[in-house]
Amino acid sequence: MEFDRAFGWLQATPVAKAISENEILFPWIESVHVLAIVLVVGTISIVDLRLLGVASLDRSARRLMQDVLPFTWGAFVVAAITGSLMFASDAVNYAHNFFSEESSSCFCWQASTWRSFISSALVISRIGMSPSRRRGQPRSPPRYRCLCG
Amino acid sequence: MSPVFSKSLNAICVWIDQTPLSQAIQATSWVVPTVQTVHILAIAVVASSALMIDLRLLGIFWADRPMKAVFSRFLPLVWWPLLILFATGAIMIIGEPARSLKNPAFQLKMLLLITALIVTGLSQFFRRQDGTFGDLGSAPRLLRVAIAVVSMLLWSAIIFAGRWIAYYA
Repeated sequence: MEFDRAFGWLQATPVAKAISENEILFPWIESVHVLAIVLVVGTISIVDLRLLGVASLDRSARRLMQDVLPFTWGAFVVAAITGSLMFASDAVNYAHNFFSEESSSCFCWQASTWRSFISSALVISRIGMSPSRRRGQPRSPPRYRCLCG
Repeated sequence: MSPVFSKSLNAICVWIDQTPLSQAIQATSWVVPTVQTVHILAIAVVASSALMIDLRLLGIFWADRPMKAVFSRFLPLVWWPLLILFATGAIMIIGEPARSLKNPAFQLKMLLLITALIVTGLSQFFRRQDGTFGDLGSAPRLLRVAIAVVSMLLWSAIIFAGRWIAYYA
C-alpha cells in the first residue's frame, strides 16, 4: 500500500529511529504527552464550566477564554508534537492499529478530547468574529448560545 | 531499602493479593482501566487548578485579580479531587498490590505527592498568616516565585512518576 510506504519512510527517519531504538526516550516523551493532555483537558474544562454557567461567573466568558485558552493551545501543541514523535517511532503499526478493533476504545477517548477542543476553538473563533463592543454601548447578546459540540 | 522493610512490604502485598476484594478486581478486566481513566481525569482537574494558582503567583495569569479570587476559585479543586484520587488509587493498589507498592516509581510518586501537598498547604498557611501573600507587589517576592516553581515541578514530576509505574512493572 502507498500509505505503508509513506509510514515506512516516516519510521526510518533518524528522529523516529532514535526514539524506537532508545529505551528511555519513549517513556520520557510519553510522560510529557500525558502531562500536556492533562493540562489540555483541565484548562479547557475551566472554560467549559464558565460556558455552562457553573463556575468563574465573576468573569465574562470572553475574558476567561482570553485568560485560559493560550495555555490550552500551548499544552495542545506540546501534546501534538510528542504524539507525532511517538507515532513516528512505530508508524506502520500505529497506522494499522488506528483502524483495528482493539484500539477503538483508546481512539474514542482521543476523539472525544479532539472534539471538546475543536468545539472550543469554534466558540472562540465565533467570538473573535463578533464586532467588539464599544465603550458605553450595551452588551451584545452572547453569540455562542448554542454549544452543539 | 532495608531487607526488613522489603520483607514486610512483600508480606503486605501477598496479604492484599489474597483478599476477596483483590481477587474480585483481578477477575474482571474492566475495573482497573475504568478506574485509571477516572484517576487521570481527576489528575487533570488537580494539576490544572494547581497550575492556575502557580501562574497567578508568578503574575502570568489573572494578574488583574486579587489572589483571594484565585484561591477561592482553584484551591478547592486541588484538595477535593484528592478524595477521588485516593479512592481510585486504592482500588488500583488492591487490584495489583505488587505492581504498585513495590514499584520504585510508585514509591517516588507518593513521596512527591506528600511534598506537593505540603507546598500547597504552605501557601495556604502563608496566606492565613499574611493576608497580602501572593498579591503581586507584596513583600516576599522570592518566596512567592519559589513556591510557584516548586509546585509546578512537583505536580509535573508526580504525573511523570505515575506514567513510569508502567515501565517499572
